[in-house]
Amino acid sequence: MKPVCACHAKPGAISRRTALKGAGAMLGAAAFAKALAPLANWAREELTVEEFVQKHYRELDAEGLKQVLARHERSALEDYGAEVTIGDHRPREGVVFGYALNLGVCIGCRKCVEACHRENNHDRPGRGSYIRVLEMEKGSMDLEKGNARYEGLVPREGRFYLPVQCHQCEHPPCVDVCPVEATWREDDGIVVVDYDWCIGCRYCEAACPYHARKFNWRKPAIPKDEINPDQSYLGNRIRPAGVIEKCHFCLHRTREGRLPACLEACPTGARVFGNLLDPSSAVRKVIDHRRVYVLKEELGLKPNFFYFFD
Amino acid sequence: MKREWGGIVFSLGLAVVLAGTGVLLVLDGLREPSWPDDRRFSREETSSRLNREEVRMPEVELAMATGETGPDGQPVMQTCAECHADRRPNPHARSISSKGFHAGMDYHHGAQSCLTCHDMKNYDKLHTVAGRPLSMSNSLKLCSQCHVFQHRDFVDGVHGGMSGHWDLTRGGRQRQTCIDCHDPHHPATPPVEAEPPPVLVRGETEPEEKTP
Ligand code: HEC
Ligand code: HEC
Ligand code: HEC
Ligand code: HEC
Repeated sequence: MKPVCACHAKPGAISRRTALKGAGAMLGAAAFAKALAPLANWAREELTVEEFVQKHYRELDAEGLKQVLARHERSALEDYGAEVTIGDHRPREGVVFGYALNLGVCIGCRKCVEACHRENNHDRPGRGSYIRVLEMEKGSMDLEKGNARYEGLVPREGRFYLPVQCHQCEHPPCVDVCPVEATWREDDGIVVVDYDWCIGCRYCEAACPYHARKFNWRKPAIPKDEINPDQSYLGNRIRPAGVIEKCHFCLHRTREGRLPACLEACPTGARVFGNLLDPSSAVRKVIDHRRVYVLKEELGLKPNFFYFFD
Repeated sequence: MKREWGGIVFSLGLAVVLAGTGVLLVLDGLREPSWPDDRRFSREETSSRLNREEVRMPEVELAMATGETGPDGQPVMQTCAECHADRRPNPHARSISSKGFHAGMDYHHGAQSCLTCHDMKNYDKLHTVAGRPLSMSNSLKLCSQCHVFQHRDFVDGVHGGMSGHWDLTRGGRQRQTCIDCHDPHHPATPPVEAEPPPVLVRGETEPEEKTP
């Protein structure tokens, strides 16, 4: 049962609006905007006092963070019956991630889409994924003309396939429009969302020229034994309804030195990932020696996601 | 007169206080949340020891059923070399007849004859372009002689994919070999059934239909 307003909230729960009446004057403008979020009141479930007073992720000290992670682990157990570990994976100094994709070998099989769906604890009935694969006419690079709904045998004659996910821009417009600083670019170039801080206003979704951000319309439905228990606060932990989510380059894996799930799942080897600051990395081999393309380059957002043809 | 002035002073004062509060609120909202102590970066130790990158070595079954049945009722098995020992090698073979022993095999790899790759002195082996024998499992070396660009890319990690770690200081990496993806006799990738397309959930609009 989701209460529609504060007067229907269950005891111990407090809606942002009630809290605002009492505490509004003490809160910063960010919290003020957060409380006024149009969708927060219906899409997001009510917050407990604990959640409401939670500090911004970046301001938590080690002890505060531990409590927040433990609380989310408990609610995964209560809501889904799943024992999960939620880590706080941080960037490494000297690492900026880059991704390159060989459109000459991609066959559009959507194995990456499926791997992301499972790895990142997406809603099962909604078939959520951070990757969309567009079927494109050969010769065109206009992603607005791609077809994401193709079915059947691939690759088809005269077509090529363009997988699109977050490009982790150096100048991310989605970050600039966030009224509450719930999303930012980290030192390794990954643009993250703090799902506890997001108010669901969807400005960022509209600002992304790659349509790479998604609104979580409902609480994800995932059978207990399909939940990926290896989770991260800023990454693949189960998101609440009413918040924005996006590809985070599998930071729970990549910040531990592992490869992203979509790359491992690719049967064609089209995906290349690595540290852009390391000249011997595979991704630098592509960028330094190939002609690489960037989608909507004219926007000047400097994505760290590149495409090449063999 | 006095009371009016008092009212104006009061209103001005109130305005200043309100504006001040407003500015404070806005400033507070604009303040970048800051990282406490050392939470910004990972504190995990780095090691200088590199883990290995391993390329899968395929196990190729050399014994084939001859089609005959032995006295024990079991099918008779022979290796390539055993059966081919009594046969004269055919260096011109470029296809597989539909009636011959190897019928059912699909062959389409340029204009090459079978013995470009298979060793006519020992059918259990492959051979290099220069004629030196290669084990049947070492097809990576075989393919790489002709496909030098794909081999270079493979070595760079840009062809053939991988799994495990991008960062070899923290773990190993596994690579598939050429024939895991390419049938040596018919190396072009066959079409596959795509995973199902995305579904729209309540409220969601098709991104392509949005004005960019
Ligand atoms: C039971 C006998 C038998 C076995 C076992 C056998 N072959 Fe053959 N092979 C033949 C015959 C017969 C032909 C002639 C073409 C045909 O009938 O398909 C042939 C043809 C070939 C050819 C074409 C070149 C030529 O000399 O004709 C190659 C290459 C070859 N075989 C490789 C192999 C390899 C590799 C193996 C083991 C994995 C193997 N064969 C096992 C019987 C055999
Ligand atoms: C480009 C190199 C190449 C050419 C040309 C080639 N082969 Fe092979 N063949 C291989 C490799 C590598 C293997 C072992 C890997 C495997 O089993 O797929 C193999 C395995 C075989 C086998 C045993 C396994 C199987 O797939 O049945 C037979 C039989 C065979 N080849 C027959 C032939 C015949 C007949 C031809 C000519 C029509 C031919 N090959 C041409 C590379 C080649
Ligand atoms: C002796 C040289 C030679 C060797 C050895 C060789 N190839 Fe080829 N391969 C060719 C040639 C020539 C073509 C071009 C065929 C054409 O254009 O129709 C080709 C084509 C291909 C293609 C493209 C097929 C297509 O239709 O798109 C692939 C993939 C391939 N080879 C993989 C391999 C693999 C895997 C091996 C090792 C098992 C191998 N090749 C060994 C000469 C070789
Ligand atoms: C993970 C799977 C995978 C592995 C491993 C792999 N390839 Fe490929 N390769 C592909 C795909 C997919 C294509 C593109 C589709 C096609 O043309 O068949 C391709 C294309 C090729 C082509 C044709 C290129 C062209 O321009 O037509 C050659 C030649 C080739 N690969 C050789 C190799 C060699 C040699 C190796 C081993 C060193 C290898 N591949 C390993 C998946 C793989």
